[in-house]
Amino acid sequence: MKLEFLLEHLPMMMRATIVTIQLTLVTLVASTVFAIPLAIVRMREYTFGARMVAWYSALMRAVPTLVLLFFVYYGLPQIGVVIPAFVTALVGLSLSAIAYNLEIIRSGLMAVDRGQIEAARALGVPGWRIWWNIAIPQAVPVMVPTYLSNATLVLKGTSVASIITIPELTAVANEIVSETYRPFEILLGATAIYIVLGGVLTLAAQVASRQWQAK
Amino acid sequence: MKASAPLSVTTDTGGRRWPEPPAESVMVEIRDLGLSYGARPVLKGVNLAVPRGQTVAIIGPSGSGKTTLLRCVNYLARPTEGEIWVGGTLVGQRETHGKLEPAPECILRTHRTVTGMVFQQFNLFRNLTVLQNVTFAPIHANGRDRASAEEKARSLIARVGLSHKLDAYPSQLSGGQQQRVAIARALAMDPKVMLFDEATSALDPELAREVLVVMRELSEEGMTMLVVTHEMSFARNVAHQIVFMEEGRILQIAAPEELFSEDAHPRIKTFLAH
Repeated sequence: MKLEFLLEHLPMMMRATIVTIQLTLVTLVASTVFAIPLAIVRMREYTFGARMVAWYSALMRAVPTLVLLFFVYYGLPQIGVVIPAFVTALVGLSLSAIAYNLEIIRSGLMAVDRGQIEAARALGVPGWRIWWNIAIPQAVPVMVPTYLSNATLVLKGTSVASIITIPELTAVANEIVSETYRPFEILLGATAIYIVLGGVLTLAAQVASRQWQAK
Repeated sequence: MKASAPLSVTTDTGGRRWPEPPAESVMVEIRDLGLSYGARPVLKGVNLAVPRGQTVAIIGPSGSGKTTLLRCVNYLARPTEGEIWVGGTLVGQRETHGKLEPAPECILRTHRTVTGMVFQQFNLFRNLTVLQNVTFAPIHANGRDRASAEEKARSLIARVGLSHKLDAYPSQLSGGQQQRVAIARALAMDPKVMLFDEATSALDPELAREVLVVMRELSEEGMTMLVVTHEMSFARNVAHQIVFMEEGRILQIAAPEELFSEDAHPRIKTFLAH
């Protein structure tokens, strides 16, 4: 094992790491923005909307992210939609991330005690106030640890985007390997980077849950 | 005394049929109230008048509709027939083009601000301190300014004996303390009537007693109260009237001395015998 191979290619891998971080963050933000209203729709059990969201969620969680990505990558041009590769990856990864996040958000909201909501209604407090001051502050501590652990999965899931030419960490590592024939050093380096990134998220999850458990 | 109050309807000059408000001396009047979930009736033809300043205890076996009746008074449960009057206002309905229609949520909200409710499970807001629990509704439902809401809250919390717990969270309080805060929270809205839904059922006898003391004081100070309870001694010693419910109906309304006597309905005697 010769570490100089790794050191030589480290700048290239760091640039790829930035792409990985970008793709992770954008996917997380986009999927969360879509997941919040869908979670609320999904909570109203017996409506048409709720059933549609439930189906969407079940379907997207059943299909491998790679397959979803291929659908978007090959499917969209078929119907005349040509978008940049990065956006394609974002859409493909978000489709499943939305499904997971909406379930996480929903279970957090469901965990809020009905009795308190009822007590607030009995006092004549407006609905949005009940959400904002009572329900959400109690739902967030429940969902944040799960949300962050799911974020780790999103981070690792971005490696799938290597298939569609996104120059993220896995793609670039593979490329370097095929040029240098030194898989061990390069993949070890890539793994270390993933561990650091994932570790940050895990740490955040621990801090968050400890922070809120104190109360 | 039989449970009866006729559904009075007057025809005013416009020729509309309009329900007549109860007498000035009546704080809560329930007329011909019915509620069904689908085909299953929960309340059937309930009539009850609570004069201002009186305490009415509602007793009866589980599943007899006591809690549902209480929840109809502030429209947490929507009756399917009949009328509820609180402080001279018809609750849950409004007049549109000369007709009565179900009131929208925003009007129900206004109705609810004048009825205080205390629950079996306390239902304090767990993310707020004692002081914040008590000021929450005055600030966010009535639009009071924080300073005056806090001043009032402090005096109410002092009244239930918890001044030393202003900044505690509900999880740091005993059940009895939580329920006393819940009473202060309801009183902070200056309610016309207080509804107690088995307020002491989740408490051991000792903690229940400290809550019952507060309830008794309130009653003696002239608060109008509807109290669903299994505490027979409270019903007997504090209530002005006792309502016995069974299978969604009122079986008997009587003064405590009558209900706890040989003259009571045989079913009630069976219920009270141990």
